[in-house]
Amino acid sequence: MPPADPIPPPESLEAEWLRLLEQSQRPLDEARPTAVLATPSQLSPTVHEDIRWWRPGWEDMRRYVGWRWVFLSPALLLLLCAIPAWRWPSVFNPFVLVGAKLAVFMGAVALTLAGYVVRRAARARREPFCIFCGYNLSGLPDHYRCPECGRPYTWRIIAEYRRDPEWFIERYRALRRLPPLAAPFDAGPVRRRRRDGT
Amino acid sequence: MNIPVTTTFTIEGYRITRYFGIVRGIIVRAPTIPQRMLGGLKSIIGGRVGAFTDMCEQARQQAYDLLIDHAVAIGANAIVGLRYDASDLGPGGTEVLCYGTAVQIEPER
Repeated sequence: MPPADPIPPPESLEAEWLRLLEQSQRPLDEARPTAVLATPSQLSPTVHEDIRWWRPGWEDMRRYVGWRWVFLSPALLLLLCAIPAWRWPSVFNPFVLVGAKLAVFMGAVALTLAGYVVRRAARARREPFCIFCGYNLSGLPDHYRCPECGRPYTWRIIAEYRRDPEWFIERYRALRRLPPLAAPFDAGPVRRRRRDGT
Repeated sequence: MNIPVTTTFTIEGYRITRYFGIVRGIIVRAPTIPQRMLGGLKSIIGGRVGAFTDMCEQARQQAYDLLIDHAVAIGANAIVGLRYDASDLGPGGTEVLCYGTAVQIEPER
């Protein structure tokens, strides 16, 4: 049973969503500790099959990459060198040999950039959306089912997902690797049987 | 997700009715490419190395998130005795362990 909070002031659904939105816009690396809005363990137990999570589409990603595509320009240069290296090996092979380490490095850069763009694009959506199919849930109540895919949602889980989608998915997967529960025991004064057996 | 988490072993105004056992969150992190570059440059100069501070802050936050996930998944509504532990894992990597005791509490009458 959750601890009894003081009675919260009446809050409209829009106001509550805006408050959650403001909290989920706060980056994880901010100096003060971030409140955990929800955990993946609160997803419905019916959601344990392999899930297809919503991620921003190519168009959104292209928009948020912006000028940062220049970080990928060494990879493009490497690709341009690889084609003539096949035709004229003596001239271009040294470039490709040097480029092997560069290719690994550029792969890491591309993954970092992709993670950044996914976070930016997810935070840019102001309206509540289904974390499984991306359907716009504006006007629908909290603790309901997505009309598109039929999966249950809560606004807190959406706000937590919006903060960092990749981290949320990783946490969901980590829950499957949880250690088994230690034997729980009740707390309280030790009650011994009386001599008369009661 | 307002579950009380405390470094103490009791929570004032509540009594512990059930112990679920130890819950934990482990994260291993290394600096990202920009953090490594900026932190390396700043290490030459000295002073506060903000890039590495950010990395450590992220590692602790993520370990804390996993701890909360673990506790909620087993049905606890509070964590007492929270502790952090950290160790080096090779060059640049750091392991952060966040652990505590998951409990069920209810208000004292």
